[in-house]
Formats: sequence, structure tokens, C-alpha cells
Amino acid sequence: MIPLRFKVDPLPVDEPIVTRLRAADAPDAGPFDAVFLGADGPVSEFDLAGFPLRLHDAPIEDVEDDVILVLPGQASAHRLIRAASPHNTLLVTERCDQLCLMCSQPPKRHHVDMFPHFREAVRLAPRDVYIGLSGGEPTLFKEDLFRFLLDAIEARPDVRFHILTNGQHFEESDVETLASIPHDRVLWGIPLYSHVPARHDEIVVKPGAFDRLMRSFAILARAGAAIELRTVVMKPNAPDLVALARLVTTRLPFISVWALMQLENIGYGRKNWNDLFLDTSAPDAFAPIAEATDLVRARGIQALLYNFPLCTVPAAYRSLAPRTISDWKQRYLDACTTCSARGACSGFFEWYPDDRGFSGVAPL
Amino acid sequence: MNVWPLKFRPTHDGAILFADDAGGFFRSDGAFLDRYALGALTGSDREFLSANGHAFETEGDLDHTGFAYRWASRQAAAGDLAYVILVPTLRCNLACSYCQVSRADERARGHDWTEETLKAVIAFLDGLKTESIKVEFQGGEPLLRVDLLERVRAFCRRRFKSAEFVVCTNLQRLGAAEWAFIDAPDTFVSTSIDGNVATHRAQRTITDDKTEEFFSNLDLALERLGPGRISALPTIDVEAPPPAASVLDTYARYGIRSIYLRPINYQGFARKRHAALNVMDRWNAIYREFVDLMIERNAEGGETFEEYYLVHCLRRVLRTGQDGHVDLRNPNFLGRDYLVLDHDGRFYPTDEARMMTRIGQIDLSVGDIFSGLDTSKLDALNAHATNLFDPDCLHCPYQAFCGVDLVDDIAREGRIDGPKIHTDFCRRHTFMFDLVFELLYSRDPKVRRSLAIWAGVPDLPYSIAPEHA
Amino acid sequence: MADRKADLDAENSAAMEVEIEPALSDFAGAAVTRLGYLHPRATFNVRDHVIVVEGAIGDAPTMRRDVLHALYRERISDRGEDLRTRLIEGLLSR
Ligand code: SF4
Ligand code: SF4
Repeated sequence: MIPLRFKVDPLPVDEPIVTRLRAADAPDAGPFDAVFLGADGPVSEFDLAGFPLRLHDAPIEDVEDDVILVLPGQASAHRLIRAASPHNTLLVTERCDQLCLMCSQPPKRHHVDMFPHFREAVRLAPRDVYIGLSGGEPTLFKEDLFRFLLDAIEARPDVRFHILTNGQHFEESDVETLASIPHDRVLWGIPLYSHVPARHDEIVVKPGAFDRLMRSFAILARAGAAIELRTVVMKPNAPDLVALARLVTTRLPFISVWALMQLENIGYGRKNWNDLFLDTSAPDAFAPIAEATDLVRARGIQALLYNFPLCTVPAAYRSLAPRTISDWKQRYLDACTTCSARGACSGFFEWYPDDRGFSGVAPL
Repeated sequence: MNVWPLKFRPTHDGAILFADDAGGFFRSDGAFLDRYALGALTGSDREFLSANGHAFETEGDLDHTGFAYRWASRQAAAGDLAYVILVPTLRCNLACSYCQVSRADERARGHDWTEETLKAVIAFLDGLKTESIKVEFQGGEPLLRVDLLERVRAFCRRRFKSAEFVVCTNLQRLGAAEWAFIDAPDTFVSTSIDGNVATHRAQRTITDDKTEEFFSNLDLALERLGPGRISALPTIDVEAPPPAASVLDTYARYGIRSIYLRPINYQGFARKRHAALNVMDRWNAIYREFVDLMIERNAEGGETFEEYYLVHCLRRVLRTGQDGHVDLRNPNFLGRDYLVLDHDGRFYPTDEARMMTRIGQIDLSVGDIFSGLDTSKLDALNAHATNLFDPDCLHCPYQAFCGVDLVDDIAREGRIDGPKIHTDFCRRHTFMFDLVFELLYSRDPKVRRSLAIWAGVPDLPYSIAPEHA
Repeated sequence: MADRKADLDAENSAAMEVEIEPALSDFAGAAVTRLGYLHPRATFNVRDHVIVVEGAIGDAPTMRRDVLHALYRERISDRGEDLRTRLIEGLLSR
């Protein structure tokens, strides 16, 4: 697993600091950059505006151009943006108004406003990065979020954002703001689990969530927003997929992509694993996914399979399954050692339970 | 609940096909039609109509928004002029039986662009707004003037960010200069293979020498360019069609799997004579035979076939935004995103318009390269460029998938405002969409196999074709 | 061939009447106009609560169906006109 935090010798500061880690010879190092001085055993030493910044187990070749956050008095630094990674996610809040049965990041009451740091981080980010924003529920702080986005897309025309939201908080009055965001700069990742309102509501554990979501979709469509529709495929909703596909073609024809996703065994997903996990490698279990993707794709809507190991997917559908598991939480199994498809395969979440998972993992 | 107006049409097997203005469709029966038309829908009717996208509760809700989006994405948006068909010469080194009007003898004079015309063409291209251009060279045999082609191509490569060239050639006499022209990776070859060797000789090459020359050049072109850069289409004589199997075999031999079947387009007197023989019905029967054979072959596995236009119609039924084919889109504005420029410098909105003007039926030229486009003539034509308000199309379930071909209407009916339902365009497309829906609702696994291939998915589920009892 | 058979049928049944349901009576005029050019060899007239068809009727059940469908189509497009107009105007005004 790639670390998202480093041990740091506490800095003598009262304010949080966002800085970029630069190589010793970086020609364009600016005043907010921490410049590498040298290694002291396992400790990398940087010059941060005259202060010594000492990071443990952070070899310069792994961390060069990363953006980190150091909080006063804390012994760890947060790696906000990893320059070498296509997957960078900023956590907006831990609060949420849903309690999805499979949530990988169960909500907490606690909230700290991180937007000022994120604003700095985006300014320092490497060129062309794709930054994820997630939570909790980012739109609980919708005004701050919008302000952050509008600033960021103006300050950094090369940076794009992917925002995970439950779609419960968009209002008609947001259309103008949303419409001012260019279609290719922000992708809204929004989950929908069933065409049956009650089933969706049960899965997200919020009465009325389905109807509220439908209203938000209409608002986003009117604003011309780019939408990634996300459906985690589980035992309770797998039988609904074909009808859900029809809903996608009739009511959501404007989405950019429909992502059908495998379950992640962490958070509530771990607690509810036995009730939720659908072994889609078992005979016939993939059938509703096949039909649902065939339906929408024949009608010209893109469909993809996220977090599906390639060998669990019938051959004709493997081209729909890109490598989607973020590098820092991804692993392979013993079976994968001899597999020829490994380079293209999502593999497994770090916390995948080998004994309660897919029955059909076998090298290709 | 508000139900969007549904158009309907009885099917060949006694059901009724329904479709709305945004292209949503389903099949049901006469009893449902009675209920719907007389305003007596049941609860289960309403449930079905809502789930299938034909209804909404309030304006602006998601059902309404989804429908509006689908409706809007079916309207073709004509962009900037980015596709020009250039006819640098009318001369040709073949004299195909069905092509007397659109060619001149190889040795004739006064059928090529002059130096002034070429300069004006280049100035015209220079003035275009687009950054990416597609140039199609037609004739006559355009490679007779490979010198002009080279100059146009060299200019376009310099002037545009991206440029693509298609040369419609009979591949007859190819010297070093001609090969050098078509060898370039930005240049594509479009040719004719009239079904099989015997038909090709009878209709086009006549002598053994020329037949041999064509087929060996075709082999060589495939070897040098690869199949991806060569397309071919057969022109079929309705009175003497080659056996479908031999056509598929011939095309398969050249690695060409997408076949665009076209009947000989008779002009003038020949058209009248053939009209009496009910060409349309005979053509449809031949066409059907080809499609059925493709379906058989596709079910056998291995390499697959498609009929280009059928697949296009199928995709227009299933998807929105399929407006790449200028013969079938709605609205279909003339003189906007593509233009034909003849050997004498005159503009035409389509190649058919050029042909009709040539045989003296009517003057459909729309200005010339020296004095510019005749916008008032174009505007007059374009007043009829959409089928949205046509009194026949309005009642037709195929309206959302269909289009408008003003030039064809004028060619065949002499007017653009006559009843649509009596035009060749309408009859041809009624046949095409009848066929598409017959296939979509077929339970024959072989048909499903082909449909899946043509729709570009591993398998086409029956649920793509909803039925309401 | 099919046409000749139609002519024979027409001789056998020179006239037929199709009843107009009250809900469709407002649309008889429009339906008759359209039927006139769909079936150029037959004539259509509205009389009281029926449409009278004369001339080349062809297959009687098919003609009956065509007349009914013509009435239905006029009613459907009339009822849908408001929705259609609002949709098109709504989209074009954006
Ligand atoms: S064996 Fe491992 S690497 Fe290969 S496809 Fe399966 S999960 Fe992926
Ligand atoms: S042209 Fe004919 S087939 Fe096409 S929409 Fe109009 S009536 Fe229907």
C-alpha cells in the first residue's frame, strides 16, 4: 500500500502549511516549495522557507512534486496530491445525510473546513492532474464547494475535477452556477441503485432520497453538467439492473457514462458484506449486468465496469472493465502472479476478503 | 400524467408499432390503440408508458427533461462547411452502362477545371471557417487530373489542422503519379465493384483487358493501402441483379465487410421506363434477399457482413446524434456543411442535384465559385428542410428516425411540397424502417446475432424492443 | 396483380360506411382530407355520424381500419399539438 501520510518531526508553526516537495535542483522552486536538502538515513530533509522539514520514509524519488499538508503540532503530514498518481482524492467533509449500506467511508459528525488548504493544493498541483473530491457528502457545504470550484477552474485551466455526491442538495437556483462550469472540467459521480424508489431509499438509508435525486438530475441536465452515474451491484439490486438500464435510456440519456461497480469490503461494506456481495463470477450471476450494459450501449450510452477483476467478467465484456482501483489501495492475489492480463486488470482492494469473495478468480 | 403524442403503424404480423417524437417506441395491439386514441388508458397502460419514457407529470421534471434531451439530440445541427465534393474533371476512361450523363469522353475538351477555377477553389477553401476538412474527389475519373488533386491536397494540408481526402476512382489506369497520390495515409479510396467479376465486366469494364486491369489494381491497392483505406460499393441493376452469394463472396475476398447496396439510379427517359416496371418493389425484394443472406452468413461465425445503410437506419432508431450521413438527417439543410463543386465551377447542394441539372431536368445549381453561393435559392429550398411539420411525417412513427431529401423529392415528383407519402424517399424509408423494426422484434436467434453485431454489442437483449399487452 | 384484385373488390362493394364514435366526430373532416390522397381512387364523405367510402375500396376490413386509424391519428395529433409546440418552443428559446 502506498502511504497517504508521512511521519514528520513537528514544525514550530501555529498555522497549517500546504507545501510542495521539490528536488534539490528544481530550477523553478517558489516561496511555498520545500526544497530537498538530503537524506538522513530514512529521513528526507527539506528546506521550508528557512525551517527544516523532516519527513520519515519519504524517499525524494517517490515524493517529488507531491503537495502535502502539515498541521501545527502534528506528527504526521497529509499527502494531498501525489504527483505520480492519476488518483488524487481530497476529502471535503466526513458528514453525510445518507447512510448507504455499502459505504466505504462511514460518516462522522466531525467537520473541519479544508477548502483553504485545497485551494493552495490546487495552485501547487502538477500539470493536468485529475482531482477527486469526496466525503462524506461534499454538497453539504455546497456554497463553499462552488466557490472553490469556480476559483480552481479559473486559476488552473489544466486541472479537472471528479466529485462524488449523493445528489441530494442541488436546487433550481444552482443551475446558473453549474452551467458556468465547462462540461469537460467537472464530472459529477452520482449513485443510483434501483429504478424502484423504495429500494434505492433502503440502500441509501434515507426516505425520499430517490425522488430528491430525480429532481437533482433534472437540474444538472438543464445546467449541462457532466454526470457519471454509479451503481454498485449487490444482491439486493442486481435483479433491478435491466429495468434500471431502461430508466437510464429514457430519463438519464444525458449522462456521460454509467458505471456498474463491484463492492468494496471496508466501512459498512465490510459489516454488510455477506448480505450485499454478489459473486458476479458465479454462473449466470453476470447475466443482468450483461443485459443492462448491452441495453444502454446499443442505445449509444457508454457503460463501464469498475472494480471488476478481469477474470470474473465474461470475455465479451472485459473491454468494459478498465483498471479502476486506486493504486494506493490495490493489490493482486497469488493467482495473479502467472496472469497475462494483470497489467490491464483492476485487481482487488487491499482489504478484499480472499475467503468470502469471487469464486472464479483464475489467471488468464 | 401527460402522454407525449404517439404515432402508430400496423406491422406485417398484425401488431401495432408505436413511437413518439423523441424516438421512443414499443409494440402493442389494437385494443391498446383504441384505449389510447379514445382517452381510456388503464392503470397498467399508464405504468408502462411512464416506464418506457412516453409520459411525464410536470414540465421540467426528470421524465420531461429526459424526453426533451432525446428529442433535441435527434435534431441534426449543421456545423460549418467542412466537407466538399470536388469534380475537377468530367472526363472518364470508362463508359459504364448507367453513367452516360455524368461523364465525358476521355479525349473531350472543356470538361476540366481551368487554371482560374483551381485558383478560385483554393481561395474558396482558404476562406472556410473550419479547422478540419474532408475533401472528396469525384468525376468523371478524378485521377485523370491527378495534378489538380495534388495541388488541392497540398494546399489543404497546409491550411487546415486536419485534412482527409477521398478519391472516388475506377482504379483503371494507375501510373506512378496516381499510385503516389493514393498511397498517402491521409487519402482514402472509394471504388465500385459491381457485385462479381461477370457483372462488373458487363456493366463497367466491358473488355477482358480492362476487367483484368481493374481487379489486379484492386489487389495491389489492398496490399499497399490495407483494407481500412479502401471502400467499395456495388451498383445493382434491378433487371439483372447478380446472385447475392456471389456478391458477398467477391467482397469478402477483398476484405470488405460493409457493403452499401445501391440500385442503378436511372435518369430522364430511363427513369420513366423503369418506373413503369415497379423498380422500387423489385429493388426491395433484391435488397431483402441480400440482408437475409448476410444474416445467415453472420450466424455461421467467422467474418461478418453488414449492409451499410441498414445499419445506419438501425442506429438512427436506437441512438440519437447519428447524423453523419447527409442523405438521412433531420433537419437536412442544403448548402451548409457540405457542398458539391462541379467541373465548371458551379456549386450544387448534392451530387444528385448536379446530375439532375446536367440532364436538363431543372437547374439546381446554387451559385458558382466565382460569384459565390446563391443564398436566396438555398433559403427557398431550406424552407422545407425539416420533416417536423410535414402533414404525413407528423403521423408517422418513423419521423424521429427519418429525414428529408429535398433534391430527391424534386427529382422524382417535380415539387417539394407534395404529399410526402407518395415520394420515393418516403417509400424507400418506410421500407427500411419496416425492416429495421421487423428485425428488432424478431425472435430468430440468427437475426439477434446480426443485430448485436450491427449495434456493436456482445448481445442484443429482447428487452431493447418493448411490448405492451 | 394486387391492383387488379383491388379493382374487382371495388366493384363488389362500391360503397361502405364507417361509423364515427362521438369522441372522434370533430376530426372527421381532417381525416377525410387525408384519406383522399392516401387512397386516390376512392372518395370519402362525412354524412351524419358516418364516413361514406365510395370507389376502389379494396379489402373492406383494411379500408375500415384505415378510416378508423385516420380518425385516431387526427385526434392524437390534435390532442398532442399543445405539448409538441411547448416542447419545441421551450427548446428553441434556450
Ligand atoms: S488472475 Fe488476477 S490479474 Fe488475472 S484477471 Fe484475474 S484478478 Fe486480474
Ligand atoms: S418521409 Fe415517410 S417514412 Fe419518413 S417520416 Fe415522413 S412519412 Fe415517415
